[in-house]
Amino acid sequence: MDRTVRNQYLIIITFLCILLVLVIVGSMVFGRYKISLVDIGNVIKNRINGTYDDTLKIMDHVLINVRLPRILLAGLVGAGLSISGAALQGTFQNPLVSPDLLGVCAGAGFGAALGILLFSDDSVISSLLPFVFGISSILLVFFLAGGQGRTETLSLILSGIIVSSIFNALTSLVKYVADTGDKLPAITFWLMGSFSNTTYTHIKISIIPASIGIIGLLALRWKINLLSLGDEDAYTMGINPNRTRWNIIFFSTLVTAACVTVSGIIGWIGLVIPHICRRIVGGNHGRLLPVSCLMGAIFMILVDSIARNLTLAEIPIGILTALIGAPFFAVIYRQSKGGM
Amino acid sequence: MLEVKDGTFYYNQKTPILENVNFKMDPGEIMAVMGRNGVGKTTLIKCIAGILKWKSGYSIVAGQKSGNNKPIAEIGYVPQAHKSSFSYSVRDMVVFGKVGHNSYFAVPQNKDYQKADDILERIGIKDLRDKPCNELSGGQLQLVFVARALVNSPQLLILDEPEAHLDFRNQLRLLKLIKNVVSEQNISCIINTHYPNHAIRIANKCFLLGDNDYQEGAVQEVMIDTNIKKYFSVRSQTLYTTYEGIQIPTFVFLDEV
Repeated sequence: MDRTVRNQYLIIITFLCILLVLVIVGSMVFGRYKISLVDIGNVIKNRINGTYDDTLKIMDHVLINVRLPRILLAGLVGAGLSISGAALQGTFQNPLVSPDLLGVCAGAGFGAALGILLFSDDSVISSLLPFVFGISSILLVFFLAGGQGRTETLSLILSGIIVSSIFNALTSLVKYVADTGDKLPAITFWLMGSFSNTTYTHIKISIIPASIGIIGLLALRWKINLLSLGDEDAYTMGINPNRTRWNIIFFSTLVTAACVTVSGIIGWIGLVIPHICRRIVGGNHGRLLPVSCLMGAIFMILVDSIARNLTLAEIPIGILTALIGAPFFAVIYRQSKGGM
Repeated sequence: MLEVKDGTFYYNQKTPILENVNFKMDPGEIMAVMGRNGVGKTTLIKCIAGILKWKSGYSIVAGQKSGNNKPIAEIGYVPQAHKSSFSYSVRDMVVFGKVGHNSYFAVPQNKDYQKADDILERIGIKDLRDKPCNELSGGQLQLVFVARALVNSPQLLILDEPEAHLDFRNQLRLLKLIKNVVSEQNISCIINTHYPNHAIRIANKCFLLGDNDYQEGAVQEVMIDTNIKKYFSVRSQTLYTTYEGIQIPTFVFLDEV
């Protein structure tokens, strides 16, 4: 890589890594239950030495069992949704694409609603259903768009719209028949997205598919550049555009479905973060994807900290990301004078 | 180097665009593909490049037969200048030429950037290397695409109307560049053009494509007034100019037939 560009890029990556650590630590400190940096040190010491100190019992619980999984999950989901958005934007040659373009979120939403309707809240099946339906939505799109053959991006997008509407209609149907006392609110809250009540189970569910997807997208990031130039250019530059596109769609679906399954539907992140990052490192997806990944994690942890500290009754994070993300996006867009 | 054997292509079987096309090219040769709008020039080069698949027949480039759905690394294809949705720097754009033919998960290395710089220098646009592609003029972008095709050291260079957006000084520069690259690296080149005067200046061979037939041969024999009348329905006259001891034929287009 070019030395100056490479150095700049490495500086940005290092800076974001440091920022991520700071945000994680900050997020551990802030909360309704007061914990200081010293306390964090004590808890860690306690854990490492295996000593048992009764005075730290509550603090240990809050930090390790409540805040830490929540922060980790928020980071994972932020990173996942952002990288998946950046990858799909490149693949579909359109900077306005977000991870739910092909109906993954609609499918996952239906899966969750169905799970809440039919099973108890915390059964394994009901936490896996969103994932299953998120993945099946992409299989439906694959089928509708004509399989492995020559698939135009337009037919993919149309299939995505069709699949989304079907799943949205089915979700409405589930809501319609759901018990208005407890099931309907549960479905509605799920659809707004939230990290409250995050446990390590959520991380266990999502970490493997999300990591596979993120690593897959990172590995393919330079190929996304070629796809973004159009199929003909991509072909003559040595890649099979259809196969590469499906690989990217597969990986980003895996990430998105894994994220949405544990967090509910969180909009805007996958659209806004790649845009911010494009302003920092330029359009090259070779650099954009890693930066989006880090930036998404930072942004999501920050917003989640706000969500749990701002008011007594926690605001669903999907609402906050839209409320923060949309004006942010508007400012960036104005600054770049409409240029992408 | 390149051989096309019974190449046939159609979208609709009743109206074939290309039928039983046969020709061969040797290293160091430039072939100009000419014909009216919509007659299938671009289709021909796209079939050779592998973007479109021959319906029957085949082509062989550098010993590799067409049709196994795998891009042939020895072909460098230069599309018409077009903007992309995302703005990449010139340098990145040229390096992209290397990315596809590397292994599936490859990331460009220092040597790829070095190669890109060399090519940009060779083409004379090194000063543009950090500019975003979408801020370039059509002519500059065309040169960037040429660089992108050359970065992979192709055996066969295919250009689709490369001089379309250029003023005539840049047209001259580009044609000279192509000619030099082809003779220096001893590669073959197919160039799709609308200008008989360009064809005759740089090409050794000419492929004249008509609605129902084609003519292929040495450019001085194919590119003549009677063929221009037959294939373009234009009356022309050839004038001769001598420059640096070489007699250059030039066509003056008088009227449509």
